[in-house]
Formats: sequence, structure tokens, C-alpha cells
Amino acid sequence: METTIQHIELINQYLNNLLSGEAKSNFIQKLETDTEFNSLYQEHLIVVKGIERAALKQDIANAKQAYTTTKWIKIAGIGIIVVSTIILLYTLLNSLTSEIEQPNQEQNNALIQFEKTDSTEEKETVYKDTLRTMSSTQMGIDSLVPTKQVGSSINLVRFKKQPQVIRLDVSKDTIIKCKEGTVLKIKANSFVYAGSGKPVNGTIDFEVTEYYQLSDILLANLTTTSKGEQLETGGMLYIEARQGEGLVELKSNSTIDILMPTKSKKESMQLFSGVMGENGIDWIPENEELEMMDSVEPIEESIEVPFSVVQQVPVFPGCENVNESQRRQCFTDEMNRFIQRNFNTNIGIELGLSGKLPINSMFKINESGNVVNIQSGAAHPGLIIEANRVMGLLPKMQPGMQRGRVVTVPYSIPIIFEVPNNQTTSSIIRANRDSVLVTNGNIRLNTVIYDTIYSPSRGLVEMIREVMHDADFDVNPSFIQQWNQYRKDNMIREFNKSSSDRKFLIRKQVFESKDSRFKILEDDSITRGGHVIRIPWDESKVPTTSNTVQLVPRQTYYAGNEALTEEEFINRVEDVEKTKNITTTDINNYLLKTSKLGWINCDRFIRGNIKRIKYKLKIKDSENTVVNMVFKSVNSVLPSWKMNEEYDFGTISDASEVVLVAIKKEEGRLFMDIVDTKINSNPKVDFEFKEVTLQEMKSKLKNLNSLFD
Amino acid sequence: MSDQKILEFFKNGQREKAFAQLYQLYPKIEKLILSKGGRKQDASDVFQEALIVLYRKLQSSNFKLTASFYTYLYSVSRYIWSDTQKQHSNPETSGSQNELVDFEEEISKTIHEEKKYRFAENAFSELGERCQRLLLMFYHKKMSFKEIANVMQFKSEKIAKNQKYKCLQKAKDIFKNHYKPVQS
Repeated sequence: METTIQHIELINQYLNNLLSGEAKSNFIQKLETDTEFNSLYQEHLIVVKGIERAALKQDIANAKQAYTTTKWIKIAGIGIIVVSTIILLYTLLNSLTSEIEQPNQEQNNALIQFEKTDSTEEKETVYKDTLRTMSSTQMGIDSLVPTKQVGSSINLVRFKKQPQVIRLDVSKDTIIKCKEGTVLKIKANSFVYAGSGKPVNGTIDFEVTEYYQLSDILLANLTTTSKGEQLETGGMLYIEARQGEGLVELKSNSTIDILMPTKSKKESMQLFSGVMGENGIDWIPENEELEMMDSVEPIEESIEVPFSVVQQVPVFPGCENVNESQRRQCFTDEMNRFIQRNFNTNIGIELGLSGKLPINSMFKINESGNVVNIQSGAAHPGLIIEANRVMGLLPKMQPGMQRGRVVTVPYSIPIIFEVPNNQTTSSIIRANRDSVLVTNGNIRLNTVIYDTIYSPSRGLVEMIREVMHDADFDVNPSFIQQWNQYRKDNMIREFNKSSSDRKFLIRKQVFESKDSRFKILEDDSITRGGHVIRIPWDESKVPTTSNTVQLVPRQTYYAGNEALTEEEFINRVEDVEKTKNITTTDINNYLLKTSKLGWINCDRFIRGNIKRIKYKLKIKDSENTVVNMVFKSVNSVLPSWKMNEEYDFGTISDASEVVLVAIKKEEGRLFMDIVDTKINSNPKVDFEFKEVTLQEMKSKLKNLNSLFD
Repeated sequence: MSDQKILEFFKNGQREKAFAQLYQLYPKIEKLILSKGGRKQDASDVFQEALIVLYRKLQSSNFKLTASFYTYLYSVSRYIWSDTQKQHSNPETSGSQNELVDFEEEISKTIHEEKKYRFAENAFSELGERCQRLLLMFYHKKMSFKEIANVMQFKSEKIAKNQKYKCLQKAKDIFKNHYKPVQS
């Protein structure tokens, strides 16, 4: 290959007439004698001429463009003169009458303008997801209505819960947060008319009924069995969508993401769809594995705007009364003061460090104004811990705003910590700002807990250096921020991560951006689109710097606006009384995807090696009575089948603690009884039916709600 | 605009300006092609080809323009058009016609060569945008590797050189694979 390159270079020099007389004659001789060289020359000539052709064509096209443009300008020029002359004449003629018409014309103008602004506004909203939260007043168990089905066979008592109805625009992505915590993500244009299969336009009414509470489940006479097999439920939903009177359904291949809130996540939960039959509901498993969500994931995509560009910076406590234009400065000043006040300057001496020690801290001020995602980098892990501790002490702020919307604001702060060699005082210097001496400030507060991870894996800094093919590449916080942004935007992508064939695709924009620190290297291959495929350096070429110790803030949890540690969070979740502070996004969710509307259930089979026995009950005076069995240990409701005078529950785990709920309806009057019992082979249960009002029945059933977690 | 001025443009490397001037002759050429049964698009293609031939001729050292640009372009265009027509109707007659005068013989040769280059051009146009830019900078704009490295964000001249080589090689490969068999 080297010789070919040399040959080509030679040919180029010859073609450009750069060769000296002797070299030139040598070249011509070589052409005559060396056939291989000659054919290379011929081929090269053709290709070069071809390239030239392309350039020529471009020039000609430009020339043609220029030619036609001038032609048209001439024509247009003449046209304008003609038209304006006509207009001039016309206005002259009409000048007498125009005074009366003028106001009318103005009105028209105004109207058009109004429409214009309206349409641009609309454009903007199209790209935003619509998020709707149900107002709490709209529904509740208190607004139960008996359905029309009442009065058919045995399922006499079935109360349909009032559904939540959301009107949504099918052309937009929509996220619906239901009252009891279900979150539905519906993609744009996923509906078709039932029957015709034609796509639906405009708005539809989306009805969701949530059945998480035992009382709701019992009132709707829902049970948890799949072909007779017992299920444990994680929640049930009934979803229906309609446009006017006509039903609409999901088009094939479209799915709705469903997040069902749960306080304690259970494994092997799966999606079931329900079929309502004469004897109640039967659940059929959908063959879709349930993705378990491992971490707390915020549902709304939060927008991040860096501190330097955000329109309204977060307000540091104390800056509230400062003029808006001064707030950025106030923030930085307060920040400096805060660090000087809180940084434990003795730490340098304690750690035996000396000299100027740069520390970089980054964090985000989230949409609630809390400081989160604190990360610091420094040469010594002790400094990282200290920097993180100080940042963790930062007070809650008013969140930053961009275009009138609350946003997350990333902030990075370089700190230079100086330990003089005489080791008497240490000082903190803020880089790029006035340096200030800090003498003392030893505050200890355990608000945020960090996990120190001694990880053998190399950090981002090393990875960047591997990619840049430069072991000394200066990885500063702003570069990391930029890098992360590129990664997020898929401008830089990593392939075959842990294999020997690891490579990065770096898009050409990365190289072309202003002040880019990326350069194309010799070994890069360039794709047709101009992007670069880079094989990163081997790990051995980039020494692991001191950052092997990673300090990771523990997963932050929020209850309302309060930041909590994981431990505290779990405690609160377990403490039922306080769970009302916790929003659905805080709690782990079951993530389901459904391709069908209708009855949806997030369930799992209860299968174990516990001895199962047949369970039948004889109930006196049991005309028009429904008996369901609620389990105390699992979230499960079993129905019964009435055979003659007996209620058959099938087979049930021996010694299960259950509650039997019997509801009877006679001539419009309701009777009920609830009995606590333990499953055994010779059950003796007597129901004493008492007449209840609908309200009383509901409140009795509500008392059972604590049986379900 | 006199022919002398246009020649001046060509000499100074202001090709675009020169071409733009020559385009004023286009309506006449268009009329010619239309009268011979061609469409507007054909006229545009023929004129483009004629401009390329003219340019190539001007580049070669032993060429002297004896007629005016108009006469030259007119005859070249006419020749190109009749050549393409022959190809379409009965290609076997192309060699048998002995009425070629010196001038046409020469043009015929250039046009024939140009066809070969067209294949190379097609190969070139299949390259990625970046490769195209790189090759144009080197072969067309005659930029140095140093300048190229600067413009294209390469770390060094050497990298620019290597990348140029890679791109060229790619173009050659495409040329060899796709176009040589068709052409020969």
C-alpha cells in the first residue's frame, strides 16, 4: 500500500507539473516500461478527470442558476414596474372613495394577524406531550352506579365504578395519570375505528376504571382466577375508548404502556386480559413478559437547561428580593459564600495533602428546587467525599425556569482547595473568581448519604481519553457535560461495548461544531455520511488515574418535595399512614404494555407446594346471593359457583386465612355478611344476612381494604 | 461580453463567471436541439456537455480557439446531439460515416474520452459527502493537505493525506466494479 501511495503522489506531482526536468523524464520512462505503473496512471487519470467532471458540472450548474436568476430578476423587475404602475393608477382613481372603506380593511388585517399567532402556538404544542392529571373531585368510590347487568343470572350484585373519562387528541402523545396512580402512555395515532379499521382523527374519550382497592374489586364483583386457577392481583383496569357513540380500538402493533403503582413489587407478574362472562370475570394471560422496573423512573421527561443559559436561574435562598437581572450573580456569590462557610478546611491537613488541589463538583437543581445528582471529582477520595458532603448541604431553592416552564438546571462549580505547605491554614479558592481565604467551618450534618464504590472499572475520564487517543487529554467538567450531551443525543455512540471489537461512531457534527476538541485521527474510518468510526485505544494505553474510587449518591427518593434516603423512603412506604405523601412516580411500578383495551389485570399465578383441599360451603337461604373469598395473605379474590345449595370454591390452599363476603339482593334490598375464617376440610360457616343500604355496604367493604397491600 | 473577457475569466480560474457568461448562448443552442427533435432537458444536457468539452480543450496546452465561442459551442453541441442520436437509432453506422472533418474527428475523440470520465464521475458521486469534499479540495481546488486538514478538522497533514488516499481508493474500487464492464 505504501508504494501505491507514493506512486499516486508521484502521479499527482506530475499532473500538477511539479516535477523537475529529470524527475519528469524518469516518470515518462517509467510509464513506458512499467506496465503496472502505467495502468495505475491511466486509471488514476480517469478517476481524477471524473472528479474534475463533477466539479465542472457543479460550476456549470451554479452558472446556470446565476444565469436563470438574472433572467428572472429582469422579468420580475419589468413585472413589478408594470404591476406597480397599475396599482398607482388604481389608487389614484379610488382615492376619493377609499376613505370610507379604510376602517373595514384594518379590521381584516387584525383578524389575519390573530389567526397567525394562534397557528404558531398550536405548532408548538404539537411537539409537547400532553399530561393530564385527573382532578380528585371527579370520581371516587362514593360515586358508584349500579350497572345494567344487574338482574341477570347469579351475578346480581355488580356495581360498576364510575370511570375516569379523559378526552384526548389522538394526534398527540398523551400521558394520563389516573387518580389511583395508574399511568398510561398512549402514543399518537394509535387508534382505529372498531370494525372498519380506519385510523381515528380528532379527539376521543378515553375511559379508565381503576380497581386497586379491595372494596372496588368486590363491589364490581371482580375475582382473580384464570381458568379456575387462583391469581394474585397487582391491580385491575378497565379501559375503553370511544369517539361519540362509536367504539375505537388500538390498531395492530400499537400498544399502550401502563404503569401500575405497587407498594411491594412481586415477581412473575404478568398481563392478563379479562373476559366478562356469566359467572364473573375470567382472566387470560397475555403472552407478554412483564418488564420489571428496577429503578425509580420519573415519568415525565424532565428538561435540563444549563445554568449559564437558563432564562431564570434558580433562586438561592436570600436572593429572592434581588433584582431579576442580578440573580445569576447573587446565586454565584451565595454559592461561594456557602462553600467557604461549610467546607471543612481541616480536611487537607487530616488527609496529609498539600498544594493546590482542584475539585470539580457538579449537581442539578431539579424541578422541585432540590439539589440532586451530586458528583465531584478530585485527586483524593477524601476531597470528593467532602465536596459531596458540602453540596449535599445546599438548601432547597426555587427551581429555574425556561420559557415559563420549571426546568432542571445542571450546575458545575470548580473549587480550588489550597493547603499551604506550612500546614497551619487551608483556604478555599473559587476558580476564575476572587479567591477567598477560609479559616474554619466544620459543620457535620447527615442529610444525604453516599455510597463509596471502590470500583475496578474505569471511569468516564479514562473512556474519553481512550476515545480521544490521548492519555493526557484534559477532561474538564464542561467537556464531560458536552460529552454526555453528545451521548444523549446519539452524536457519539458506542458499539460492541465489552468485546474486542469495541468502537465508537462519532457523527460529523461533533467535529464540525465550533471549538470542537475532536479531531479526525489517522486510523479513523469515515462513513459515507461523513461520520467517523473510531476504535478506542486499548485500556493499557490510558493509565487509570486516581479516580478509581467513585462516590455515588444513594438513589434519591422524594416524598412530595422532601428528599429522602432509600432507608427512610422504605420506612415511609411501609408506614401506611404516610404513603399518601408518596406519589406514584416514587413507588416502584409494574410496567405493562397492552395491545388491547378492555379488562386488564396485572397478576401472577399462585402456585406452591402447599396442600390444597376442596372447599364447599352450604349456605341457608341463599337465593340471589354471591359469595366471594378474599385472602388475607395474598391479593386475591376467588369466586364461587353455586351448585344446588352449595357454593363451590374449587381447591384452596389448606389453612389459608380468608374473609368470606356474601352479598344478597332481594327485591331491591341489599343484605350482606362478612365472615373471617380459616380454610379447613369441614367448613362450618353461618352467614347472618343483615339488611344494609348501599352506603353501609360500601363502607363495610372499605374496611376490608387493608387486607390488600 | 467579448470572448476575450471570457477567456480571461478562464485563465484566472473564475470558471463560474465564465460559464455564466457562456450561458447567454444557451437559448440559441436550445433552439438548435429543439429543431432537431430534442426536448428541453436534452438541450440542457447537451449544452453542459459542450461546456465541459470546451473547458477540457482550453486546458490542453496545444489547443487554440480559432472560432468564436458561439461557433465552437454550436458545432460541438450539434455533434454531441447527432452522436447521441446515432447511439440510440443505429449505432453501427457511427464508424462508417466518412464525412468527419478534422475538427469533428478531434471532438469525437474528446467526447469519447469524456464518456469514460463520466463513469468515473458516477463512481465519485457514490462516495460519501465528506470523501467527495476531500477529493474535490485536493484535485479540483488544488488545496494543500495542510489546508485540507485545517478545513476538515483533521489532526495532521498526514491524516488528511491518508484519508484522501482511502477515499480515492474507494472511488477506484467502485469505478472498477461497476463501470468498467459496462464501458468496455
